[in-house]
Amino acid sequence: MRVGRLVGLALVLAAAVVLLPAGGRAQTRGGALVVGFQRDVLNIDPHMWTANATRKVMVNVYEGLTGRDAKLNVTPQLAESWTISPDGKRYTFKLRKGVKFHNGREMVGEDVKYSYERILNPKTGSQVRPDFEVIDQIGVPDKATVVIVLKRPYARFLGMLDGDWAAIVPREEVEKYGDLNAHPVGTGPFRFASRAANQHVTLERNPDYYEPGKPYLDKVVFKIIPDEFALMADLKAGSTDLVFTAPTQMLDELKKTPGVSYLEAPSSIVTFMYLNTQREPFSKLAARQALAAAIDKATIVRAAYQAIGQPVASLVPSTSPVKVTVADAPHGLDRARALLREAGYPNGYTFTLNVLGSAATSKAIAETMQAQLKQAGITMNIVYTEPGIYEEQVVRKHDFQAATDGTSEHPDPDVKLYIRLHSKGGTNLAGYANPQVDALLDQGRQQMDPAQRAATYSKALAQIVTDVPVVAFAELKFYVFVRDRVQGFEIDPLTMFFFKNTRVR
Amino acid sequence: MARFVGARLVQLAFIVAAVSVVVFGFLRLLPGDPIAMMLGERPHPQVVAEIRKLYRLDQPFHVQYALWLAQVARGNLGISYITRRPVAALIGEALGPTVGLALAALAIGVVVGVTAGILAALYRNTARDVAASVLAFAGISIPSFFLAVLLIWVFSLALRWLPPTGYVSPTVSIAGWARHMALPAVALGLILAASTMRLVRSGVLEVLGREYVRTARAKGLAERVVVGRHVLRNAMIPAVTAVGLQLADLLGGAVIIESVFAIPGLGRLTLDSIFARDYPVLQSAILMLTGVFILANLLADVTYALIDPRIRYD
Repeated sequence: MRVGRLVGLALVLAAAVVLLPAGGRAQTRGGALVVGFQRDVLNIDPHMWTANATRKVMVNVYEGLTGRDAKLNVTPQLAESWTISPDGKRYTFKLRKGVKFHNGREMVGEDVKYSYERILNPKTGSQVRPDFEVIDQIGVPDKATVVIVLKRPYARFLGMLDGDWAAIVPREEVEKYGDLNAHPVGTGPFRFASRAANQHVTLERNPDYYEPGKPYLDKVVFKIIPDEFALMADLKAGSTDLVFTAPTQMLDELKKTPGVSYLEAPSSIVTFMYLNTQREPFSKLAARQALAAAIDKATIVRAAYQAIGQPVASLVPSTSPVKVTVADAPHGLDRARALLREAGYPNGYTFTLNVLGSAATSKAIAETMQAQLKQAGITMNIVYTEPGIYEEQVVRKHDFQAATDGTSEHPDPDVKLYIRLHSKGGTNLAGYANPQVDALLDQGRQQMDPAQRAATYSKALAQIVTDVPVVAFAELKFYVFVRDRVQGFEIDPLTMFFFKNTRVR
Repeated sequence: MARFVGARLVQLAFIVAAVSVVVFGFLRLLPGDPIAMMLGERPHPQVVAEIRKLYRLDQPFHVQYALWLAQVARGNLGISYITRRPVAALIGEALGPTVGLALAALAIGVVVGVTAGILAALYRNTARDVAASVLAFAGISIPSFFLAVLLIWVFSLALRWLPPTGYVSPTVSIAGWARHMALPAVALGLILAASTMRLVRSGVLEVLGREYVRTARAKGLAERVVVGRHVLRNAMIPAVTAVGLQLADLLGGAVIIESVFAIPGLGRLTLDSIFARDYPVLQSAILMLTGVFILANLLADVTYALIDPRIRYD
């Protein structure tokens, strides 16, 4: 077994040497990368997981039919190609050949069918099950082909088949252990090696990976250090190679650390607040518009995020593959006062903002906004709300006037807007219902042409900006600090970590 | 003595049972639904309802409690909602680091505290005493997390002697465990040492003024014997009380210290479970802490009897 692996490795190395262009430098292989994490992974079954940190680790172990590039274009992964019928309802996937699960078995069409049926089974408890209900039938004409028929065309369908939420898993492993939480088996570049609660999760190279020569690393160790400052101390001391959380106020100082590089890229994260349209004062359109006119977004965003955030007009950030155009609500105190009179509040109004958590950035947003609103005669009380209480009071009971929130999901307008602003949306906390916007959001999901979708969503967003059910603050950059020995690491806009192409010196 | 300990153990069982009802009730009164929070950004109401049903969270309180009790009676502590791992395994993994940290801190606290306290009393009002008292006062005033950050800064970042964070199991490497435990145990232990020192100092001073000490000295006993045999034994009683009482602080401090130094112990597990509303883990962790706490107090009581011949429990 071990000898076989050595022989295989020797062959690969020999091939690499032979295939290198003259004068080319051999790729460094081997070594371990240590990543600093604040939170332990939770449920690591790919159809049950929910936590962002868990996915950051496990997207290296599991893959879906499709993948994505750094611009969020859909790319082939376990499916090497696909065709879509003219009515947009029938997808025929050709599977990549020679893909093996980590248990050594070849991946075939039946595994795709099994995996999607598992997601669709309510007993699994998959978070994306509502999205998958667009699937009508799954057929496997031969072991390398999968045909999926949808109930209606769905623009996001290919994008939702990635390894983040729709991993292809082997049935026999699920049936042996009940789920994949204790014994993860996927097709990814790394295999799951071990974990110890609140200590580490360790992945090791998958020697059977189908991309020749990859991955480069022998091991990736995710080390769990809950304290932000301790995490940074670890990076400085050289015992951690990569860290992705740092106190915003320390960024500039940290960027000067010798031997450490700072990388950043636009992400899918947008911070915003809901205005409850079912409650005074925000049940009045002019009262919501007055608030939008009274705030100076650029100042708020600078105070909270410095160079990490950009003001944004809507929930759809610039990383969206669908390029929408939308103008923000006009800002001006005179306009705000006029709108207040129109709403019947000539002396302004008072409301309470529930801030989710109490992070320094949330505090900065709330306090800067509070001072700005004061100038227009609007009094805002701030209540910092622990996530559990927020979940009950704001999310479940809709018992609030205004509440901050954030979203890091895929930046496609359908993902960002439908659940929050469609009258049937699962988390429409603003209680917003505009038939015209509903119709546009329904239409945008079914259009296949990107230009048409962009036009549809731009129209919807113009209406949403006028109606102010939400006030978007900022789109954020995702950043990491890496030690200089790390090479080939690229930031993913969805904030996942892919280490397939990463090397250490 | 045996009867006393037996009675106390029976009492312990009752207290733990009562606490279990209270904990179970209070946890469910806490706002926040573990499932909706677990789903994070996209708590689709339909999915939330389905998973609640899977975990039987839709049942009334008394039914949930009965289900849980029946499970515990069979020796099964249940499954964590968020990690889907057995609670017994999670607590088992977390227990070692915490017990190790607490014992190391206790050792540091008692050794440093008692030594400093005796010296300060014997050399009363000299420079040594003043220095020890000032340090003790500082130890009581400085919050443990601040001391922890200070220690990391000096010994890990500036001097690079010790790792700033992390944990190595002693079964893997004793030296590794000691290197990782040194700073957290000192951070936690020094604070314990400070209050122990002050109690020992006043205890020794009080005993030194007693008649039997004068008698012992008058008999011509060597000072070493006087202090060792008569003074210390009597002065230890308040110190033991102090340490017993401080076990609560020690457990509380361990939660904070574990967070700073990334030690995967019971404190961390409890804290994480509170924020996630992970009821099954939280129930068992709190009961565990309650049991440890009561046992520690019992231990302190038994120690009195061993030290002070006037105390008898029968």
